[in-house]
Amino acid sequence: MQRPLRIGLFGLVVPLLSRPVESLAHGFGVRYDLPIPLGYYLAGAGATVALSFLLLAVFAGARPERVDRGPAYRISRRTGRILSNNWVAGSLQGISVALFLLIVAAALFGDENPFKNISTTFVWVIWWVGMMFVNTFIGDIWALVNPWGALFAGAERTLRLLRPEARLSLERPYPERLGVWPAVVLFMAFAWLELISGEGDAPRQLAVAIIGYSLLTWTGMIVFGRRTWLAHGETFAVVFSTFARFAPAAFHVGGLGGRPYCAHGMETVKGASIGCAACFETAPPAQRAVALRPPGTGLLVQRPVSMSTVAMVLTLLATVTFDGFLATPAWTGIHEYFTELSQPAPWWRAPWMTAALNFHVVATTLFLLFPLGFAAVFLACCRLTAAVAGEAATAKVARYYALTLLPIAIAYHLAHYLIYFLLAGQYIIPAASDPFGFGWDLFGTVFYKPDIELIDAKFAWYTAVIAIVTGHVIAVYLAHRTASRLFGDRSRALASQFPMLTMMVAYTMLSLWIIAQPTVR
Amino acid sequence: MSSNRQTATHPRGHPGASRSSLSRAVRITVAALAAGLFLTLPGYGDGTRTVEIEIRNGKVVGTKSERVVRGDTVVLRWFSDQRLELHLHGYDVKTTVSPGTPAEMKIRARATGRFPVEIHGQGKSGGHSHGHGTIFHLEVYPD
Repeated sequence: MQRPLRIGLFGLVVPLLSRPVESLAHGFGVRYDLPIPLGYYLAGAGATVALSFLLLAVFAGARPERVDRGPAYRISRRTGRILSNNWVAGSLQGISVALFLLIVAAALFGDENPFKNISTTFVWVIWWVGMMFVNTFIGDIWALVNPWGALFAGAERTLRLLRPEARLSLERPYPERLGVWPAVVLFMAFAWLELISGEGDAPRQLAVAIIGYSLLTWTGMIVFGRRTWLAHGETFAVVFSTFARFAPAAFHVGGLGGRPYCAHGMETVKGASIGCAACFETAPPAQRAVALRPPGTGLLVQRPVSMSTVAMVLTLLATVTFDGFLATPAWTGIHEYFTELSQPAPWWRAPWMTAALNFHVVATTLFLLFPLGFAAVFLACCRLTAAVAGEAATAKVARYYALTLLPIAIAYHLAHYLIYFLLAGQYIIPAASDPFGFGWDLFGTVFYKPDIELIDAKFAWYTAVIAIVTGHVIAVYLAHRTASRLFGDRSRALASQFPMLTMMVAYTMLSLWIIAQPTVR
Repeated sequence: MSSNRQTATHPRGHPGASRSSLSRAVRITVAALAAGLFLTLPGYGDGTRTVEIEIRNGKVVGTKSERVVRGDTVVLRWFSDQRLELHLHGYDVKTTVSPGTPAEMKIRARATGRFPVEIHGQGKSGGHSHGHGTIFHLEVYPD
């Protein structure tokens, strides 16, 4: 049997990629979720439609819109002081860097069985899913602990001590029109590694990906400067900070005067940059604070986001949905359609077209089509909204509305990953005692077996449906606020909401449909 | 085709009851009715369910999942035309089945969820890891 084509991140096809056959048969996809029963699905769908109309009725009956003063928040200077304290920041980053080095070392030198190596559990469950939850529901913690940023900053400081006149970074001007496109492309590569390659489970492949990505990130920092690359190219910084716009806490740096955007591309509100980690880091201590706000209100923008940010949001929505879609019978049907055609085209049954490569080709094609499909639907919706409102350009509507969709993706993410996080995350307990699989028992927990009774299926179903309906309601509310801001006239604002509302209902239904599918994975 | 057969056990009547033939007849009738109820309503209560699954050429013949209810005692009895190592994930039960020698996995279904049974030791390099080697699912639903 021919080996499938393997592509590490950025074409790092090196001998390190030799496949540990036995361990891969395991896979790290430990998911024990039951699909939600029909009754829950119908209840969720019904609630989604009913609440949508109820909200519309409330909006229609509301008093003539007062001037929308923008999101309300309170400022906590004390939290800002604590976070910018050198000891606090230093120890957070120290822990993060130590963990980063441990993970890389374990992935490189530890046992090749993903269950006996801390790197797989840590990267895919604790960090990727857990950090997402933390950033979404607390604040942009990733910006404080980012090990790539911390290591680079450490190198910069060391160099300055040794040779005060030397600079590690070339600080070349970043091409403005690139926006966060590098992060979008890198995120697609990451999602492909996670969802399709099937290689992310193997510690050695993970090591190659992490090292490759680290080199790329540091190259970006050397060329454009650390903060510039963190804001545009370090895909996890961009993705996590996008999710952190939902969070109740955000960096707040005042004293920017009337500038519409801060130096790092984040919009300003009342002369303050909100949610910009770079501003927070560079501002004088007295200006650093933390803004506290109702969850979700940070997604209301005062000024349009860049088109690349729109692309980032749509890519996030599309990949989250694609992840769930891969577990549905619909996907199996598509896959079988291409693999079991009665009269396949000769090239499709070429000797080099192995089953695995076949899977990769079909899945990757669909993976690339998903964001394009989402973009097409979203832009068509924006076009309709603009037409109904009779004023704004399609692009302008898209740049105001994109973030309002995020709560639906967050809710789906929660429904999809919470149980996985709580069950698969327990593998970190034995792994902590023996991170390399060398037979150690540092904390006496090496024989811990994950408690699969921790989460009851009914709890999981209720959580999933309630999360998805709540996310939908928040999204509809945010879209309404955005409409009121964009199209001051009340009747126009109301009418303009129908296309977006329809799309949100459809997207929520899609989320519910996916979690109600009999899982085939 | 595989035959999924259910058997049920039921607690006996009170041992200290009257020994008259009438009450014995009543007891037997009640026990028979209860046993019949267990057989016609599979999966409810604390019954024992035995599921016989046939593997031919590394694939399960017939339905590839079994639905049970939490609290059940489940016996998965495996038949195979080749020697295979089987692993029920989650409950983490392993067994080895050989031609002519069925193997059993017995669990008390305490945890809800959808638990895959994988064939281990199959050294085929088959690309994606999603469900690779999974031949069966045990679905434990809440009552």
